[in-house]
Amino acid sequence: MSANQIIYDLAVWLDTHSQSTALHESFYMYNWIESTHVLALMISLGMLFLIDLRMLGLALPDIPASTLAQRLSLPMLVGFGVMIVTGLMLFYAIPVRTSQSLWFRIKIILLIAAAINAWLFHRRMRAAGTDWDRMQKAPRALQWGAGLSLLFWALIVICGRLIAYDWFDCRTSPIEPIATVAGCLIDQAQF
Amino acid sequence: MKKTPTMQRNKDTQLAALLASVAVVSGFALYWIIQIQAVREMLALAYG
Amino acid sequence: MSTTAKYYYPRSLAVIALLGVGLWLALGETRLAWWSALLPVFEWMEGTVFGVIGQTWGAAFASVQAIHLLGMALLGGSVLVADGRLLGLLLTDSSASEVQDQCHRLFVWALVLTIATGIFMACGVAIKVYYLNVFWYKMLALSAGVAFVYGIRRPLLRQGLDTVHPQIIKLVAVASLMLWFTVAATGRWIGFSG
Repeated sequence: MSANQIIYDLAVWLDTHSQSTALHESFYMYNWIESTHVLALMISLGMLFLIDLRMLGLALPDIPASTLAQRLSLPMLVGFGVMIVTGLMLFYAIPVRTSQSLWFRIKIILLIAAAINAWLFHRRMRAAGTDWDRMQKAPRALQWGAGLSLLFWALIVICGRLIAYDWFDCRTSPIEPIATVAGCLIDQAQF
Repeated sequence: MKKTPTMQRNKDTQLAALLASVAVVSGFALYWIIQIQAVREMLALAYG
Repeated sequence: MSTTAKYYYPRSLAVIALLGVGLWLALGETRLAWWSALLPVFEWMEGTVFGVIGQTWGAAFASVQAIHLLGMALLGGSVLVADGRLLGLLLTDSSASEVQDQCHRLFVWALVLTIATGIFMACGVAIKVYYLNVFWYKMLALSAGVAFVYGIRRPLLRQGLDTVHPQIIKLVAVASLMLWFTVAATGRWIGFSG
Protein backbone atom coordinates (compact mmCIF):
# COMPACT_ATOMS: atom_id res chain seq x y z
CA MET A 1 0.00 0.00 0.00
CA SER A 2 1.56 3.31 -1.08
CA ALA A 3 1.85 6.35 1.18
CA ASN A 4 -0.59 8.21 -1.08
CA GLN A 5 -3.14 5.39 -0.64
CA ILE A 6 -2.76 5.49 3.16
CA ILE A 7 -3.19 9.27 3.22
CA TYR A 8 -6.23 9.03 0.92
CA ASP A 9 -7.86 6.30 3.03
CA LEU A 10 -7.30 8.33 6.21
CA ALA A 11 -8.77 11.44 4.57
CA VAL A 12 -11.81 9.53 3.33
CA TRP A 13 -12.33 8.12 6.85
CA LEU A 14 -12.15 11.64 8.35
CA ASP A 15 -14.62 12.81 5.71
CA THR A 16 -17.18 10.28 6.99
CA HIS A 17 -17.35 12.08 10.35
CA SER A 18 -20.53 14.12 10.78
CA GLN A 19 -18.52 16.91 12.45
CA SER A 20 -16.36 17.18 9.35
CA THR A 21 -19.43 17.61 7.16
CA ALA A 22 -21.03 20.02 9.62
CA LEU A 23 -17.92 22.18 9.61
CA HIS A 24 -17.65 22.14 5.83
CA GLU A 25 -21.30 23.00 5.27
CA SER A 26 -21.68 25.48 8.13
CA PHE A 27 -22.98 28.92 7.40
CA TYR A 28 -20.18 30.82 9.11
CA MET A 29 -18.03 28.43 11.15
CA TYR A 30 -15.59 27.52 8.36
CA ASN A 31 -15.17 31.21 7.47
CA TRP A 32 -14.55 32.16 11.11
CA ILE A 33 -11.98 29.41 11.54
CA GLU A 34 -10.22 30.42 8.35
CA SER A 35 -10.34 34.10 9.37
CA THR A 36 -8.86 33.24 12.77
CA HIS A 37 -6.15 31.19 11.04
CA VAL A 38 -5.22 34.11 8.80
CA LEU A 39 -5.53 36.83 11.46
CA ALA A 40 -3.37 34.82 13.89
CA LEU A 41 -0.64 35.29 11.26
CA MET A 42 -0.32 38.86 12.43
CA ILE A 43 0.58 37.66 15.91
CA SER A 44 2.76 34.64 15.18
CA LEU A 45 4.50 35.78 12.01
CA GLY A 46 4.52 39.38 13.17
CA MET A 47 6.62 38.46 16.21
CA LEU A 48 8.76 36.02 14.19
CA PHE A 49 9.51 38.61 11.51
CA LEU A 50 10.61 41.14 14.13
CA ILE A 51 12.97 38.58 15.69
CA ASP A 52 14.39 37.53 12.30
CA LEU A 53 14.80 41.11 11.10
CA ARG A 54 16.59 41.97 14.35
CA MET A 55 19.04 39.12 13.78
CA LEU A 56 19.71 40.49 10.30
CA GLY A 57 20.23 43.99 11.70
CA LEU A 58 17.23 45.39 9.83
CA ALA A 59 14.92 46.20 12.74
CA LEU A 60 15.01 47.29 16.39
CA PRO A 61 18.83 47.52 16.43
CA ASP A 62 18.99 49.12 19.89
CA ILE A 63 17.19 46.29 21.65
CA PRO A 64 19.37 43.32 22.71
CA ALA A 65 18.65 40.50 20.26
CA SER A 66 18.28 37.70 22.80
CA THR A 67 16.01 39.90 24.94
CA LEU A 68 13.80 40.54 21.93
CA ALA A 69 13.68 36.85 21.09
CA GLN A 70 12.82 35.90 24.67
CA ARG A 71 10.15 38.58 25.18
CA LEU A 72 8.36 37.99 21.90
CA SER A 73 8.50 34.20 21.94
CA LEU A 74 5.43 33.80 24.19
CA PRO A 75 2.99 35.78 21.97
CA MET A 76 4.59 34.11 18.95
CA LEU A 77 3.95 30.65 20.37
CA VAL A 78 0.40 31.58 21.35
CA GLY A 79 -0.18 32.73 17.77
CA PHE A 80 1.32 29.53 16.37
CA GLY A 81 -0.84 27.49 18.75
CA VAL A 82 -3.96 29.18 17.42
CA MET A 83 -2.80 28.61 13.84
CA ILE A 84 -2.10 24.92 14.45
CA VAL A 85 -5.53 24.34 16.03
CA THR A 86 -7.39 26.26 13.33
CA GLY A 87 -5.25 24.66 10.62
CA LEU A 88 -6.15 21.19 11.87
CA MET A 89 -9.83 22.18 11.92
CA LEU A 90 -9.62 23.49 8.35
CA PHE A 91 -8.02 20.22 7.25
CA TYR A 92 -10.67 18.23 9.13
CA ALA A 93 -13.45 20.13 7.35
CA ILE A 94 -12.24 19.21 3.84
CA PRO A 95 -9.76 16.34 4.36
CA VAL A 96 -9.72 14.64 0.94
CA ARG A 97 -9.21 17.70 -1.24
CA THR A 98 -6.77 19.29 1.21
CA SER A 99 -4.63 16.17 1.61
CA GLN A 100 -4.39 15.88 -2.18
CA SER A 101 -3.59 19.55 -2.72
CA LEU A 102 -0.11 20.02 -4.19
CA TRP A 103 0.22 23.35 -2.37
CA PHE A 104 -0.85 21.84 0.95
CA ARG A 105 1.80 19.13 0.66
CA ILE A 106 4.50 21.66 -0.20
CA LYS A 107 3.29 23.78 2.73
CA ILE A 108 3.65 20.83 5.14
CA ILE A 109 7.20 20.12 3.90
CA LEU A 110 8.06 23.79 4.36
CA LEU A 111 6.52 23.79 7.86
CA ILE A 112 8.74 20.84 8.81
CA ALA A 113 11.76 22.63 7.32
CA ALA A 114 10.87 25.80 9.24
CA ALA A 115 10.54 23.83 12.48
CA ILE A 116 13.95 22.19 11.98
CA ASN A 117 15.44 25.58 11.15
CA ALA A 118 13.91 27.06 14.32
CA TRP A 119 15.32 24.23 16.46
CA LEU A 120 18.80 24.67 14.95
CA PHE A 121 18.50 28.43 15.39
CA HIS A 122 17.74 28.13 19.10
CA ARG A 123 20.60 25.68 19.56
CA ARG A 124 23.01 28.06 17.85
CA MET A 125 21.67 31.02 19.81
CA ARG A 126 22.36 29.26 23.11
CA ALA A 127 25.85 28.26 21.94
CA ALA A 128 26.68 31.78 20.75
CA GLY A 129 26.43 33.27 24.26
CA THR A 130 25.50 36.92 24.74
CA ASP A 131 28.60 38.84 23.58
CA TRP A 132 26.92 39.74 20.30
CA ASP A 133 23.61 40.73 21.94
CA ARG A 134 24.03 44.49 21.56
CA MET A 135 25.64 44.31 18.13
CA GLN A 136 23.49 45.42 15.27
CA LYS A 137 23.75 42.06 13.52
CA ALA A 138 23.81 38.58 15.01
CA PRO A 139 26.67 36.12 14.26
CA ARG A 140 26.73 34.81 10.67
CA ALA A 141 25.20 31.40 11.51
CA LEU A 142 22.24 33.07 13.21
CA GLN A 143 21.80 35.46 10.31
CA TRP A 144 21.54 32.48 7.96
CA GLY A 145 18.96 30.91 10.24
CA ALA A 146 16.95 34.13 10.35
CA GLY A 147 17.14 34.55 6.56
CA LEU A 148 16.02 30.98 5.97
CA SER A 149 13.19 31.46 8.46
CA LEU A 150 11.94 34.50 6.54
CA LEU A 151 12.16 32.61 3.25
CA PHE A 152 10.39 29.49 4.55
CA TRP A 153 7.55 31.44 6.13
CA ALA A 154 7.04 33.63 3.07
CA LEU A 155 6.75 30.47 0.94
CA ILE A 156 4.43 28.88 3.52
CA VAL A 157 2.07 31.86 3.32
CA ILE A 158 2.14 31.79 -0.50
CA CYS A 159 1.43 28.04 -0.59
CA GLY A 160 -1.33 28.48 1.97
CA ARG A 161 -2.96 31.09 -0.23
CA LEU A 162 -2.69 28.90 -3.33
CA ILE A 163 -4.49 25.93 -1.68
CA ALA A 164 -7.79 27.59 -2.58
CA TYR A 165 -7.00 27.38 -6.32
CA ASP A 166 -7.91 24.17 -8.12
CA TRP A 167 -5.40 24.24 -11.00
CA PHE A 168 -3.74 20.99 -9.93
CA ASP A 169 -6.64 19.30 -8.12
CA CYS A 170 -6.94 15.56 -8.70
CA ARG A 171 -10.44 16.17 -10.08
CA THR A 172 -8.82 18.02 -13.03
CA SER A 173 -6.54 15.04 -13.86
CA PRO A 174 -3.21 16.85 -13.62
CA ILE A 175 -0.18 15.64 -15.54
CA GLU A 176 2.58 13.53 -14.03
CA PRO A 177 4.60 14.07 -11.85
CA ILE A 178 2.19 16.60 -10.32
CA ALA A 179 -0.47 13.92 -9.94
CA THR A 180 1.92 11.65 -7.99
CA VAL A 181 3.25 14.45 -5.77
CA ALA A 182 -0.32 15.55 -5.04
CA GLY A 183 -1.24 11.96 -4.22
CA CYS A 184 -3.89 11.48 -6.92
CA LEU A 185 -5.01 7.84 -7.28
CA ILE A 186 -6.16 6.35 -10.57
CA ASP A 187 -9.44 4.87 -9.36
CA GLN A 188 -10.26 7.18 -6.48
CA ALA A 189 -13.96 7.65 -5.89
CA GLN A 190 -13.86 10.78 -3.76
CA PHE A 191 -12.33 14.16 -4.37
CA MET B 1 0.24 78.66 37.23
CA LYS B 2 0.75 80.43 33.92
CA LYS B 3 0.66 77.96 31.06
CA THR B 4 3.54 78.14 28.60
CA PRO B 5 2.82 77.59 24.88
CA THR B 6 4.47 74.16 25.14
CA MET B 7 2.21 73.15 28.02
CA GLN B 8 -0.83 74.35 26.07
CA ARG B 9 0.26 72.38 22.98
CA ASN B 10 0.83 69.29 25.09
CA LYS B 11 -2.58 69.64 26.69
CA ASP B 12 -4.11 70.06 23.22
CA THR B 13 -2.37 66.91 21.97
CA GLN B 14 -3.56 64.92 24.98
CA LEU B 15 -7.12 66.17 24.66
CA ALA B 16 -7.13 65.34 20.95
CA ALA B 17 -5.77 61.87 21.73
CA LEU B 18 -8.49 61.33 24.33
CA LEU B 19 -11.28 62.45 21.98
CA ALA B 20 -9.99 60.42 19.05
CA SER B 21 -9.38 57.27 21.12
CA VAL B 22 -12.83 57.40 22.72
CA ALA B 23 -14.35 57.84 19.25
CA VAL B 24 -12.37 54.86 17.90
CA VAL B 25 -13.25 52.59 20.83
CA SER B 26 -16.95 53.58 20.61
CA GLY B 27 -16.98 53.12 16.84
CA PHE B 28 -15.28 49.75 17.15
CA ALA B 29 -17.80 48.57 19.74
CA LEU B 30 -20.75 49.83 17.66
CA TYR B 31 -19.48 48.28 14.40
CA TRP B 32 -18.81 44.86 15.91
CA ILE B 33 -22.06 44.79 17.90
CA ILE B 34 -23.95 45.47 14.66
CA GLN B 35 -21.94 42.82 12.81
CA ILE B 36 -22.49 40.21 15.54
CA GLN B 37 -26.21 41.04 15.63
CA ALA B 38 -26.43 40.63 11.84
CA VAL B 39 -24.62 37.29 12.05
CA ARG B 40 -27.00 36.09 14.77
CA GLU B 41 -30.01 37.02 12.64
CA MET B 42 -28.54 35.21 9.64
CA LEU B 43 -27.85 32.13 11.75
CA ALA B 44 -31.40 32.24 13.12
CA LEU B 45 -32.73 32.41 9.54
CA ALA B 46 -30.48 29.61 8.39
CA TYR B 47 -30.86 27.20 11.28
CA GLY B 48 -34.11 28.35 12.91
CA MET C 1 1.62 94.24 31.22
CA SER C 2 1.42 91.62 28.41
CA THR C 3 -1.60 89.42 27.99
CA THR C 4 -1.27 85.79 26.94
CA ALA C 5 -2.97 85.06 23.60
CA LYS C 6 -5.94 82.71 23.91
CA TYR C 7 -5.02 79.19 22.89
CA TYR C 8 -7.65 77.58 20.68
CA TYR C 9 -6.62 73.89 20.91
CA PRO C 10 -6.35 73.42 17.13
CA ARG C 11 -5.68 69.69 17.23
CA SER C 12 -8.66 68.95 19.46
CA LEU C 13 -10.88 71.16 17.31
CA ALA C 14 -9.66 69.33 14.22
CA VAL C 15 -10.60 65.98 15.80
CA ILE C 16 -14.06 67.27 16.73
CA ALA C 17 -14.53 68.68 13.22
CA LEU C 18 -13.46 65.40 11.61
CA LEU C 19 -15.80 63.42 13.84
CA GLY C 20 -18.59 65.83 12.95
CA VAL C 21 -17.94 65.42 9.23
CA GLY C 22 -17.80 61.66 9.69
CA LEU C 23 -21.17 61.57 11.48
CA TRP C 24 -22.71 63.84 8.84
CA LEU C 25 -21.47 61.54 6.07
CA ALA C 26 -22.58 58.42 7.92
CA LEU C 27 -26.08 59.64 8.69
CA GLY C 28 -26.73 61.84 5.66
CA GLU C 29 -27.35 61.28 1.97
CA THR C 30 -24.16 62.98 0.73
CA ARG C 31 -22.08 59.83 0.93
CA LEU C 32 -24.33 58.15 -1.68
CA ALA C 33 -23.58 60.97 -4.11
CA TRP C 34 -19.84 60.65 -3.40
CA TRP C 35 -20.07 56.87 -3.79
CA SER C 36 -21.82 57.18 -7.15
CA ALA C 37 -19.19 59.68 -8.30
CA LEU C 38 -16.47 57.08 -7.58
CA LEU C 39 -17.89 54.44 -9.96
CA PRO C 40 -15.97 55.76 -13.03
CA VAL C 41 -12.76 55.57 -10.97
CA PHE C 42 -13.33 51.91 -10.18
CA GLU C 43 -14.25 51.16 -13.79
CA TRP C 44 -10.99 52.80 -14.83
CA MET C 45 -9.07 50.76 -12.24
CA GLU C 46 -10.29 47.50 -13.80
CA GLY C 47 -8.99 48.64 -17.16
CA THR C 48 -5.47 49.42 -15.93
CA VAL C 49 -2.57 47.03 -16.46
CA PHE C 50 -2.85 45.91 -12.82
CA GLY C 51 -6.53 45.20 -13.29
CA VAL C 52 -5.97 43.21 -16.48
CA ILE C 53 -3.14 41.18 -14.93
CA GLY C 54 -5.17 40.49 -11.79
CA GLN C 55 -8.21 39.35 -13.78
CA THR C 56 -6.29 37.29 -16.34
CA TRP C 57 -3.77 35.44 -14.19
CA GLY C 58 -5.13 34.03 -10.97
CA ALA C 59 -1.60 33.03 -9.94
CA ALA C 60 -0.44 36.65 -10.12
CA PHE C 61 -3.40 37.81 -8.05
CA ALA C 62 -2.87 35.04 -5.47
CA SER C 63 0.87 35.75 -5.20
CA VAL C 64 0.29 39.47 -4.67
CA GLN C 65 -2.37 38.59 -2.11
CA ALA C 66 0.15 36.42 -0.25
CA ILE C 67 2.65 39.32 -0.23
CA HIS C 68 -0.21 41.49 1.08
CA LEU C 69 -0.62 38.98 3.92
CA LEU C 70 3.11 39.08 4.67
CA GLY C 71 2.91 42.87 4.79
CA MET C 72 -0.05 42.61 7.15
CA ALA C 73 1.95 40.22 9.35
CA LEU C 74 4.81 42.73 9.59
CA LEU C 75 2.38 45.60 10.16
CA GLY C 76 0.58 43.58 12.83
CA GLY C 77 3.86 42.71 14.49
CA SER C 78 5.08 46.31 14.60
CA VAL C 79 1.70 47.55 15.91
CA LEU C 80 1.45 44.77 18.50
CA VAL C 81 4.95 45.37 19.85
CA ALA C 82 4.59 49.18 19.89
CA ASP C 83 1.15 49.14 21.51
CA GLY C 84 2.11 46.24 23.76
CA ARG C 85 4.98 48.36 25.05
CA LEU C 86 2.65 51.30 25.71
CA LEU C 87 0.33 48.97 27.62
CA GLY C 88 3.27 47.65 29.63
CA LEU C 89 2.84 44.12 28.30
CA LEU C 90 5.86 43.64 25.98
CA LEU C 91 9.54 44.63 26.09
CA THR C 92 9.06 46.42 29.40
CA ASP C 93 12.81 46.36 30.05
CA SER C 94 13.48 48.42 26.92
CA SER C 95 13.06 52.15 26.57
CA ALA C 96 9.51 52.95 25.47
CA SER C 97 10.54 55.77 23.14
CA GLU C 98 13.16 53.55 21.44
CA VAL C 99 10.61 50.78 20.89
CA GLN C 100 8.09 53.29 19.47
CA ASP C 101 10.58 54.90 17.08
CA GLN C 102 11.99 51.63 15.81
CA CYS C 103 8.63 49.93 15.44
CA HIS C 104 7.36 52.95 13.53
CA ARG C 105 10.08 52.52 10.90
CA LEU C 106 8.96 48.93 10.32
CA PHE C 107 5.34 50.05 10.37
CA VAL C 108 5.94 52.51 7.52
CA TRP C 109 7.57 49.86 5.32
CA ALA C 110 4.81 47.38 6.09
CA LEU C 111 2.11 49.99 5.40
CA VAL C 112 3.64 50.93 2.03
CA LEU C 113 3.85 47.23 1.07
CA THR C 114 0.26 46.45 2.09
CA ILE C 115 -1.17 49.55 0.41
CA ALA C 116 0.76 48.89 -2.83
CA THR C 117 -0.35 45.25 -2.98
CA GLY C 118 -3.85 46.26 -1.89
CA ILE C 119 -4.14 48.69 -4.81
CA PHE C 120 -3.04 45.94 -7.22
CA MET C 121 -5.67 43.56 -5.81
CA ALA C 122 -8.38 46.22 -5.80
CA CYS C 123 -7.71 46.88 -9.50
CA GLY C 124 -8.26 43.20 -10.24
CA VAL C 125 -11.67 43.12 -8.56
CA ALA C 126 -12.56 46.82 -8.66
CA ILE C 127 -16.26 46.64 -9.52
CA LYS C 128 -16.84 43.76 -7.12
CA VAL C 129 -15.34 45.66 -4.16
CA TYR C 130 -17.05 48.90 -5.20
CA TYR C 131 -20.38 47.29 -4.37
CA LEU C 132 -19.17 45.66 -1.14
CA ASN C 133 -20.00 47.47 2.11
CA VAL C 134 -17.18 45.69 3.92
CA PHE C 135 -14.62 47.14 1.46
CA TRP C 136 -15.71 50.67 2.35
CA TYR C 137 -15.56 49.84 6.05
CA LYS C 138 -12.00 48.66 5.49
CA MET C 139 -11.10 51.86 3.66
CA LEU C 140 -12.64 53.88 6.51
CA ALA C 141 -10.68 51.91 9.10
CA LEU C 142 -7.47 52.23 7.05
CA SER C 143 -7.89 55.99 6.63
CA ALA C 144 -8.72 56.35 10.31
CA GLY C 145 -5.69 54.21 11.18
CA VAL C 146 -3.25 56.30 9.15
CA ALA C 147 -4.78 59.56 10.40
CA PHE C 148 -4.60 58.23 13.97
CA VAL C 149 -0.94 57.30 13.65
CA TYR C 150 0.21 60.61 12.15
CA GLY C 151 -2.33 62.99 13.67
CA ILE C 152 -2.65 61.63 17.19
CA ARG C 153 -0.17 58.94 18.17
CA ARG C 154 3.09 60.33 16.76
CA PRO C 155 2.52 63.91 18.05
CA LEU C 156 1.58 62.49 21.46
CA LEU C 157 4.70 60.34 21.69
CA ARG C 158 6.91 63.19 20.44
CA GLN C 159 6.03 65.30 23.46
CA GLY C 160 7.51 62.62 25.74
CA LEU C 161 5.70 59.77 27.43
CA ASP C 162 6.45 61.09 30.92
CA THR C 163 4.43 64.24 30.19
CA VAL C 164 1.33 62.30 29.13
CA HIS C 165 -1.34 60.99 31.48
CA PRO C 166 -0.80 57.19 31.73
CA GLN C 167 -4.47 56.36 31.09
CA ILE C 168 -4.42 58.37 27.87
CA ILE C 169 -1.37 56.39 26.71
CA LYS C 170 -3.18 53.12 27.38
CA LEU C 171 -6.35 54.35 25.68
CA VAL C 172 -4.37 55.38 22.59
CA ALA C 173 -2.71 51.95 22.49
CA VAL C 174 -6.06 50.15 22.77
CA ALA C 175 -7.62 52.36 20.08
CA SER C 176 -4.66 51.69 17.77
CA LEU C 177 -4.98 47.92 18.23
CA MET C 178 -8.72 48.09 17.55
CA LEU C 179 -8.23 50.11 14.36
CA TRP C 180 -5.63 47.81 12.83
CA PHE C 181 -7.54 44.69 13.89
CA THR C 182 -10.60 46.08 12.10
CA VAL C 183 -8.51 46.74 8.98
CA ALA C 184 -7.28 43.14 8.98
CA ALA C 185 -10.63 41.54 9.84
CA THR C 186 -12.64 43.51 7.26
CA GLY C 187 -9.96 42.73 4.70
CA ARG C 188 -10.36 39.03 5.40
CA TRP C 189 -14.12 39.32 5.13
CA ILE C 190 -13.87 40.85 1.66
CA GLY C 191 -12.66 37.45 0.52
CA PHE C 192 -15.86 35.82 1.74
CA SER C 193 -18.19 38.36 0.18
CA GLY C 194 -19.53 38.85 -3.32
